[in-house]
Amino acid sequence: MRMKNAVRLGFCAIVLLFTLSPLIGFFATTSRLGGAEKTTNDLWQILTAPSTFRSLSFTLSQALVSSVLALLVGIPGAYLVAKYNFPGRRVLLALSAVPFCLPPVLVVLSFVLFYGRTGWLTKLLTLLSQSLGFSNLGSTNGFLYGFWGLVFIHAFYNFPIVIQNVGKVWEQLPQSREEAARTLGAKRLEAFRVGTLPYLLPSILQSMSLIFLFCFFSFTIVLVFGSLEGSTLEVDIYRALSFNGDSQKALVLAAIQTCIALGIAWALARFGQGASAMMKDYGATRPRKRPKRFAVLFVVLYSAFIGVFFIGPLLALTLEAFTVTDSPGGTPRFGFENFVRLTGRGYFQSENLLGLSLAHSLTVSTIAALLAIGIGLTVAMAVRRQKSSRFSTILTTLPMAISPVLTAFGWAIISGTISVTDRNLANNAAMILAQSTIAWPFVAKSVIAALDGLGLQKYDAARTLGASPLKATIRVELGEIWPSILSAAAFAFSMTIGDSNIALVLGGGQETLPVLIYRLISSYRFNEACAAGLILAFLTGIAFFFKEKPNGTA
Amino acid sequence: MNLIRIIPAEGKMKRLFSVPIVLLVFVLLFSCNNQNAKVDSLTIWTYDSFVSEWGPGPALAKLYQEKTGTKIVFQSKGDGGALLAEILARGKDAEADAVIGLDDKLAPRALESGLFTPLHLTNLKNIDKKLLIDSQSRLVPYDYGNFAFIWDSKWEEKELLPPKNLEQMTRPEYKKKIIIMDPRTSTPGLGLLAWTQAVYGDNWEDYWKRLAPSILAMTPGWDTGYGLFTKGEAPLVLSYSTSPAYHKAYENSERYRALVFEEGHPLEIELAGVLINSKKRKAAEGFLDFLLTEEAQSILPETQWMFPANTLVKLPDSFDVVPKDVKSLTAAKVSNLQKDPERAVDLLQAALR
Repeated sequence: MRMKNAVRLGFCAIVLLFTLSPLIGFFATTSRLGGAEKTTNDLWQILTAPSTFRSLSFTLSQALVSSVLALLVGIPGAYLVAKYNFPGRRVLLALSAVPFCLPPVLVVLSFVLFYGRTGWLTKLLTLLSQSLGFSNLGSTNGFLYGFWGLVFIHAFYNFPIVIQNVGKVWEQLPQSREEAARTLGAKRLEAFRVGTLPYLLPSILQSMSLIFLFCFFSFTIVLVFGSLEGSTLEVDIYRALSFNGDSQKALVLAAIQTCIALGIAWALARFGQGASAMMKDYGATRPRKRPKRFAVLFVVLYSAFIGVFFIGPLLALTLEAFTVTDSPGGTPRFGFENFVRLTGRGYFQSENLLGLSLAHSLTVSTIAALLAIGIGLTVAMAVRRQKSSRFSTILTTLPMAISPVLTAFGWAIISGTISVTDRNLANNAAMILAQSTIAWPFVAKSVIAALDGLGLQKYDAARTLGASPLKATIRVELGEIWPSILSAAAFAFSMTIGDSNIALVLGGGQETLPVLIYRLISSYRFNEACAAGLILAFLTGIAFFFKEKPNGTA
Repeated sequence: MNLIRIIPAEGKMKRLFSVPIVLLVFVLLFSCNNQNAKVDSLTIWTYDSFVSEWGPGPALAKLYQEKTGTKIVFQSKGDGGALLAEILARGKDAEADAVIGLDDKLAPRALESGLFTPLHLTNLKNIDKKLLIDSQSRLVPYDYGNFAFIWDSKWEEKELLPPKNLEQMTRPEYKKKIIIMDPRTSTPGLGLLAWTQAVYGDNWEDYWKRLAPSILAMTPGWDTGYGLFTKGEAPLVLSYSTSPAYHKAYENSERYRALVFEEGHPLEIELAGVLINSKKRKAAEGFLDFLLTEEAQSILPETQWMFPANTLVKLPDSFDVVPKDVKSLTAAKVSNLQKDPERAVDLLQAALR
């Protein structure tokens, strides 16, 4: 047995090294680049510069406000999903794939289309005020481009995580405690505070810290909507490296960022453990009721709210993809021309941009996803059945503390030193490695959760009947958790194909679909960008079609 | 997925993690391209829009290969700023023969590096003299434009009139009505900085403070900003006086107009050069000479949406909508490239806080 453990530990060390290698590569190279003139004094100066402090406080405050706002939007949904059966319940739950799979480029696009000055919401408000006889209910008037716009987008991008995570715990929470408190004479609110809230808290905090972490690393959205207010550390690192060649500044900011992210990831892991420990004692899911009276009103209002403010932008994206304007100022009409133009049969293109980028995206993402699944699956099997789950938690949470921008730069540095002869090759390899670095922990978490749920009986039975440990694992256990693996695979694929940050940071090379969308937006072809975006959304939406959501997210 | 079933059950743990390795090898083989196999090819670093489907890159490469048999391999490095950063970061190890897409604002830093070689181009004689910024011809101009604010005339229906100069843009009626680009990351952003420094001298910082309330968004690059503008987010955007030609050519629209300001407009001169460490310096020089020919230059107006540097080129009809009375501020430049962009953004952020 001792030998086996050594193999396991060794393997985990390798994975850890693989995951941390971009970070190591980054720190090693940038600290070397500065050369002789760099002193601790310089680094200290950067660390204590007012601009560093401003970036840090902006990063933290926007992440805090965004995550609190996401909780406010998400918790009512979590309650409804946990307590009631209603049409649209599954949709609300399925939305949780959005924050992981919908690329920020598309979020930016759809929010501008919907909340922008000439966007759908403004049109809706104008129409409404006209028909109701008010002077003007106002327009959204450019609120997107400030602090509140930024946190608003973050909150609406991420709130489905709360519905999924908190809803799942709430659903299984026994009512007995709250009922006991009520019997003892507590008021409704008091009973909730004593009987329910403490048990929900770990899952609430877990969701919040996950959203906080996402917003902490926010990149594209801050770049477009936040630059007048400030920038996140992630954006500053990118700027320092890509534009100023200031590796010292990048180094200092990256060090600060990584330390804080480790803290958040640690909190995330703690709360996650708390939430799942809480769940273990609950047993079966409580039966859900059909909503009555007030509950019906609540369900309708909440669905309408989400429908307008969250589904609205996505709908705007879809409609815009099919909107064709033959002449400027002319009446827009429905049509497929945006798609046709992308395939090179349009009015002034020759290359099949859509086909090329799609093929490239599919190749890169499939390989990255398979790599992520390979690593995630093996990690899951290596760390399971350890006495304490702490080790596996650390192993799967740690990678989440590494910034995507750093991961991309790190892999670019590493692949650049190995294969300097072919930049394209190095670029593709870096992209695949970076994407799989980010995706595998989600796979591992989901498989670990599925294996935990399985218990040991079947495995032990197979062992008793003479199967080797590996055979027992593969033949018996993996067969059992097949659906979970499949959904984890779909999830990994969605994550990697939707990734735009890594591709944009790496730059150059062949275009992936998210990069094509970015370039289409750049050359002000919004409608064609929407068309390409719709195809991407469809591909990333694959995760929607699998019933089981990866537990790593939950 | 099917992965699990393929693995023989009797296999050792090792087999399991050999899967990623096999895949990796597969990737490496698969994504290998054989562009570099050809000997007579030139590698040219440039920015995104030059090589995009809508840029001049593909047409120029095709034309040049037909003429000389030399294959042109463009590698995009993002935008102009990122391009220079990569050249400076890689220094003598940069695997490019030539670079297209630096500009007059970035030129001092590029020339300082000593990475560019002096060029002797026969077609330089037809180039507009005001564009020649380097006496040794280490960086040569291929196109140029004037920075200008573009006005969406649809806002005139809402009784908003266009500003006539930089100062008027600080008026309250333009509150949150202007989209500019970040001077830390984009050439138009730097252009605006140079513009305000040329017009206001030492008082430019005050101007940025006064301008702050009028700014709706500051985007990382020209592309995003102009995209938001055409989507109707604001009536004013920082761009080039030639931008209306695009709308004329592709949309037959004159809705967007370039505003002519009385104080004049700074120039944006786009530059190309050959890297001193290239093993194909002569061939690279040949390509840049080709880039300055009348034939190659006539591709630029309707792909780059800039004026060609070669004075013999006849402008296409779409350029009729470009205002003729733009006065060039030839001397406009950013006084401190290291500090001023950061300072300008700080001023904006502080004024809005």
